[in-house]
Amino acid sequence: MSSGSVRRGEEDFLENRTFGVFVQEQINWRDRVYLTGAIRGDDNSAFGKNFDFVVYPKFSLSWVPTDEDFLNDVGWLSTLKFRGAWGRAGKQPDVFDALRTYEPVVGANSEGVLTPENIGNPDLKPEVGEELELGFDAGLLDERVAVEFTYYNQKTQDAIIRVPALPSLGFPGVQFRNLGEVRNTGIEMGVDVSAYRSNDLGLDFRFTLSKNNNEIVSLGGEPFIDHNSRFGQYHVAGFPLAGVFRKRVVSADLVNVDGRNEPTNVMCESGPLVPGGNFSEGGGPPVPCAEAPEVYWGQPLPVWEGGVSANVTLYRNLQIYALVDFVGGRTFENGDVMHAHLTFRQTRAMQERLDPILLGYQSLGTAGRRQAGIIDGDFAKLRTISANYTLPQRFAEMMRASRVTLTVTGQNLWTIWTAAGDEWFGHKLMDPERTNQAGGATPGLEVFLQESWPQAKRIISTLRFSF
Amino acid sequence: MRNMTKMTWTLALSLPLLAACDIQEILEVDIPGRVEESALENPKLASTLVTGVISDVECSWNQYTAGMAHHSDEYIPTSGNLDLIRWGERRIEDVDVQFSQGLCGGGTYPTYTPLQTARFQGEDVLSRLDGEAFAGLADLADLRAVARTWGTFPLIALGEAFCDMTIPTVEGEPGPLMTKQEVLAVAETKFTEALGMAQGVGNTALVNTALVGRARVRIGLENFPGAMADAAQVPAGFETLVSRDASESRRWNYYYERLNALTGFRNHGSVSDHYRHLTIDAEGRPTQDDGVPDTRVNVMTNGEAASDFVTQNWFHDKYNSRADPLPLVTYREARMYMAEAAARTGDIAMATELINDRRMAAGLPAMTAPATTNEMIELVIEERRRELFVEGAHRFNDMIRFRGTQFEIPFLGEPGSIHPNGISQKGDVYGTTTCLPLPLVERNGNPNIP
Repeated sequence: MSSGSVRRGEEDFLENRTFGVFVQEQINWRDRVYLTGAIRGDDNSAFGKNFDFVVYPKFSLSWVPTDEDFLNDVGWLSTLKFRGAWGRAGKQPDVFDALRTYEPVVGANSEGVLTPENIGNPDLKPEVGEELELGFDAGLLDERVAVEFTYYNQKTQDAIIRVPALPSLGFPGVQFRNLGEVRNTGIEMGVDVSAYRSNDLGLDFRFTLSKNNNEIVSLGGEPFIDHNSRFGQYHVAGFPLAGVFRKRVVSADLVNVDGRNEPTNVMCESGPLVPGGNFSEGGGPPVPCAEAPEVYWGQPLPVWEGGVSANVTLYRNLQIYALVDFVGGRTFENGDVMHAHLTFRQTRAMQERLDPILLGYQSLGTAGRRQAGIIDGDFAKLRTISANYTLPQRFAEMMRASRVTLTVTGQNLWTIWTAAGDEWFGHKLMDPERTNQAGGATPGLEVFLQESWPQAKRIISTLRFSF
Repeated sequence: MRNMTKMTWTLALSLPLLAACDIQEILEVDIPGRVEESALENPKLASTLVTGVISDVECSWNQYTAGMAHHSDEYIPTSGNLDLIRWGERRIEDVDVQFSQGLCGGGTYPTYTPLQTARFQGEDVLSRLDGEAFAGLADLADLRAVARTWGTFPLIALGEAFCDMTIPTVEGEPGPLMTKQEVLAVAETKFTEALGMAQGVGNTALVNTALVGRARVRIGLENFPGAMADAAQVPAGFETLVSRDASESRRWNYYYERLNALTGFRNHGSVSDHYRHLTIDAEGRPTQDDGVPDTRVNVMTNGEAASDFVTQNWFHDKYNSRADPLPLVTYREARMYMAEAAARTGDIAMATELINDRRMAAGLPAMTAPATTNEMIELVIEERRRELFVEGAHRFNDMIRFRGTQFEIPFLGEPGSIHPNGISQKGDVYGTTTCLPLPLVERNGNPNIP
């Protein structure tokens, strides 16, 4: 057995220490205005050795106007609360990010040796987020309608950004640096509606919607930072984090050479250049691709996320629930499709050679190969549909239980809509939500997906006894 | 409430005072799972640090030279692997993560980062050894000589192989964009330092290693008298090997692992047609299928397909396991530098004699001197491809340094090669890579590179 197996033993030990001081004061005026002020000071063992203490203040204010006399006569408004907060908060680096470390490895004659592992950054400090949040919570029509709304404007300074370590400096991997300023603005809202309620029928809905605009305000003087140039991802000021920049073919002519279509006069999108780099928002007139900038295709993080759910209760013992959710504003690179078209070239489109845009990308070689897989990742799904039935009490009693319920749930059964459609240059597309996560979550800043699993369709039946 | 507020604000105002306290002691943490840089300043680790330089040079040299054998005309592409096929079909891209940022022991042939890491290790360890912590060590001078000698070899690869290069002028700060000649000139200076150090401690093996290294660099700089002088001092049979073993992937012989292993679909290249059945004819001229078999290039087939399941696999007998060592420098190589230096300075008689020495050592017929210098140079190039077959990226280096001259050696897919129409034996289109591109991650992150 030992000859057929590989045994590994690993152990790791992480220690992180924070020295912090926190002071908070709350003031309540007539049980309707609440003011909180706080200040926090932190030092952390993960900060770079050239960085010390950091101080974060915060304030929040809330007011419940429905407790005021002038709203006593507004019958449809049950409760109303306005809230606002401003504060700063820090995010410390991970435990080893600042440290320059060496890795023990095996050398000649099985001797242990040391090799450069992590370049570290002695100047690494926490990123500091400053956020203004305004919103309200309201209950209407005897709380049959509940509304929550929040607007936020978050500015992250000294954002900790992972950049590739410069290989010529001798260390592999990545380096964490405090680079510039990133702004996130957006809204979050939720509406709960209890539309109808009687002894035999209950009907409830919930709507959620969030929008986040992510933008790099500055990179501390750098025109751009390589996030993962293999996939065309760069941090560029004025664009979202890890945006995808590639040449975009807009037209090409096909000529027949020895019975095979070849592209000619391949033109790409132009546009105003970002200072210091060959990146552009695009939108300019076509130019020969050799002269064209890398134009913006999108970002891996979604801009919009939301959902609609409905819950129907019949005769107090049958509940039917359905949830539809959606993601919008997300782009990803489908490695399976890209390689099929322009690496292995075994797709029907590449055999027939009729699509001038696809052949135009092929003609760009390395500079055009990956565009054949850059896809709009927006979708809407019937995420959950379920029925929950409480069996009559006599069945429960027959089994000496106090309650018996049967639930049948279907998950990910139907992709209602995808922005990219069913095919990309004629190649069948799979589920755009191919990650290990569920519920419309995204795979972070990495735009590339290949050989990953689609979301599993599940039907789950549950019989539950309560005693 | 008023009292509480007073207390709160007192505390708040005391924050700056707390901040001024020396809390570093509280924040000291143990990281037994990592070796911090400060731990290296320990004289007991001196030998370990220097062995680390050798280890990183060995790893990077192994991966680099095997990769260049695959990329040169020594192999035709026979891989069924998405990444490895690009090495055989000359599609090495500046954005390829494995080529540019892959680590020792990684997939395909991690090249750029391991070479830069090994180069840095040589500089960094030497600089530490010069520090106070190591003063007074009994074997300090020996260790310094080893670090300088071994740590200079990555510069040969960085100078010879890449279209553009950068190395720091001051360690820790990005360097300028440099030409091949500039990098090789730095290597020459460092080998000269290494020679002085090695001679100072009487380490003959290290002296000879540095001499062959400098001879190679001087050939690249076309300093033929200098190369001749260095190579002539190397004693017969001398060699320094890159040790390999089967323990972990960073220790494996990548020629075997990627190209020559006959099991596990690891034949990602098959020895090219024009390296099979090499012979020497009756007049001592190199031929194919016409004369005495040239035992220096012992290529054979078992009739089975390589990893693409299509192309017949041809392999050699130089590396037959993960643990087989490979050459860093050899006497044979030094003699070929002498032959080239003689040929390129018009000394046909000496070049012929040097080649015939190697022929005799291999049990092969001697050749008569050619009539012209150009014929002699062509013969030296041909002898080098045989004598130094699948060793030290020598063939790739010849393909690069003679490019654009009358002695140009075409890459596969180019006119004059065995696949002259740009199409491989499988019908795949070759790419255009010749010299290796400076990786985009370096161009993008180095502010000194426009």
